[in-house]
Amino acid sequence: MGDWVVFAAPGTELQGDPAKHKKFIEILTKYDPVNCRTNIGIEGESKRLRYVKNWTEQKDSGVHQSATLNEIMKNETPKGGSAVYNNKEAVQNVVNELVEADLGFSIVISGIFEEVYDICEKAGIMPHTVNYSGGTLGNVTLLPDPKILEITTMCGHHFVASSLVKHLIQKVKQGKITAEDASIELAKQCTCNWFNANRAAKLIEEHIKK
Amino acid sequence: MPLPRMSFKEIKEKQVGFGSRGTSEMKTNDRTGRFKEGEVGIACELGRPGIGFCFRDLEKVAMALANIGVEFEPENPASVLLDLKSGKIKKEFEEIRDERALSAIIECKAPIERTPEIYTTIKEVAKEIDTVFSLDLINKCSDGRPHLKKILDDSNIPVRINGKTNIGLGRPLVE
Repeated sequence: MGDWVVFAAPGTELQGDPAKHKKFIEILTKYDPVNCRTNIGIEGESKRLRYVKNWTEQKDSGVHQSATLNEIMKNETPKGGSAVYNNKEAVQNVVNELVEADLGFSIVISGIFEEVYDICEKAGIMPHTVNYSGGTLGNVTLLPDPKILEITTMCGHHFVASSLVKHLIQKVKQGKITAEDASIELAKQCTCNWFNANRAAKLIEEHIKK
Repeated sequence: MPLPRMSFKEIKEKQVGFGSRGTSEMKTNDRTGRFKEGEVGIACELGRPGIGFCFRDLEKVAMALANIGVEFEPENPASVLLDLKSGKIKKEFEEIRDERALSAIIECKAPIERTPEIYTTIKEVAKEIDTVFSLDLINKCSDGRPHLKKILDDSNIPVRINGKTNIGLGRPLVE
């Protein structure tokens, strides 16, 4: 399964014509993202509208409130945002439209480099700057099991605790909740909304089968 | 437990340092030109993923990098704490040396041909700290590809097949 994040880089997202932000969100929401997020409200008091596929209102808890794709799309004052896709075709379509729209935002894609270069080429643009991961260095014995890390690191800021992943896997094993419900609970913690719950559910199922 | 010395509200009002943990580094490079062709950007994300770190460890990494003459990013919040020539924590902040935080980023850059030497230094200092850090290596593309890749391959520096790509749609564009 693919895992692609497309976002307008912070620093540009609060500037510019509101119509451009509306257009940006229109493009992001068009190609069936598994996650989508935008910011609304004035600077300093902004609120995030967060869509995660299969996160319904019934699963809301505390500060973690879900939004529908439609709510995000219809909002009149969106500012920047991001979306996660599970297939390359969707990302290609998004990039093609972003090139045509010429919004002027700095757009970053997180994904496999060769695939991103291919997408850029097909859209008639060239990658500008890349950021390689040189891995994790230091006292790596402190890290959790790689299989758990594979789930937690889908939140780049690591708001998803390894202990929560272990706890929820245990509950899934005991048949108390489904892998999908567990993955939504994990996705809630990632307030940038990049955690791919769809992929996490599959990883949890694989983990349990072993 | 002692109360924090300053609330987030005070930090914002007094405009201490810079917001966030780091700059937008390569994410807005198409508009800022922070990293130019022929340069490698380096970020050591102390405490990541999910372990946290002690400022004493951040200082060790910063000192090792300062010792080989990298150029630290002045607008990075960790840079505010450091003497950028030596990498040492400034005298007025010495009391934070044994404090812990979830993460902080040391951001710097250097001529691209120095990448292998810098990587060796980072690997060495990594043995001396009691936490982990994620390493980022940044490069502006030339004709649509990063020259850094060949240097990494030739020097057997392992990198992941995935990462972030700024696709150059920012305007006005910095070539």
